[in-house]
Amino acid sequence: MPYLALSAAFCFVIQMFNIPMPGGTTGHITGGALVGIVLGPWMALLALSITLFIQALLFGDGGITTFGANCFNMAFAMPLCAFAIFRLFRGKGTRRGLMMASALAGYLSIVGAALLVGLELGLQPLLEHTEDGTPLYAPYSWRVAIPAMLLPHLLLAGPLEALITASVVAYLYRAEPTLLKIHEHVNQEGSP
Amino acid sequence: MAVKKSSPLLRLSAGLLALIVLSPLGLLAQGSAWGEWASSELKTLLGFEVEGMKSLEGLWNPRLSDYAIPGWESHFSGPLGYLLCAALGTASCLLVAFLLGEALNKRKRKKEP
Repeated sequence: MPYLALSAAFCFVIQMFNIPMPGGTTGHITGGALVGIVLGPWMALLALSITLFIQALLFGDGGITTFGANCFNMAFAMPLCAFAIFRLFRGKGTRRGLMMASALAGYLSIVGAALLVGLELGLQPLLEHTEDGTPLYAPYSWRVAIPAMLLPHLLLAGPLEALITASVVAYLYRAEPTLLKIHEHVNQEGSP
Repeated sequence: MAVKKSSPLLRLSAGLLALIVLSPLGLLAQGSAWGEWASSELKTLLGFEVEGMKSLEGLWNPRLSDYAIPGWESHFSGPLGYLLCAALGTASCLLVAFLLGEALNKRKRKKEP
């Protein structure tokens, strides 16, 4: 359990590091890939949901009405995707193999999550608009929303998430190798 | 405390603390994340009011909106407020996760007497 708490807190802080994106907007990495890899997808779902809950409740970041969508993208889809990719590519578990697998998992999972956000934001004007077609909520169509979410994450946030994920995994491999097997313990305990 | 000096938990917490101290770096980037605009920002972008969004905005009033402590706006107090928000948010995450963990453990113990 302490690792669940630590992971939620880690994701909270790491998401406060805004990075400038082309076009005057900002983005941030999520930490979701790392937590997915270390804790496994189910514990990561809890950890990231706590992070997003605190962000919305205290700081108005993300927001109460978007909490569900945010959880789906960053707490469910992203760690699950990272976990699967990491498992698929970790090979024999050498340091190099683990780093490559976690970098790939970090990169692809944040790009995947960004794509989901683009799809969701682009869908909204189709569903919610006034009679004359004026959007009620998110105003941009897929043609704008998908590239706007995807490109910065492909170019900037993706490589950063990959770097952070791989470096922390490399650190854990050297300093706390038992932590890299945490989710296996959880699964064993959790099975009836 | 039962935490040994070499405990991985302690070492990872030290890393977390370092991140909190560095958090004001996140203020260097200007502007909202794509899709995360306030309705007033959207109005300037689009030229018209996005009604549904505006009507939902009053639903919740976070005390520390945008990780800023109200009134702390100078070059010094702004980043300091951001840092304190990082610390408070981190503490809240730890607390909620701890309470959730306790609740889950309790249930598990009931199931397996």
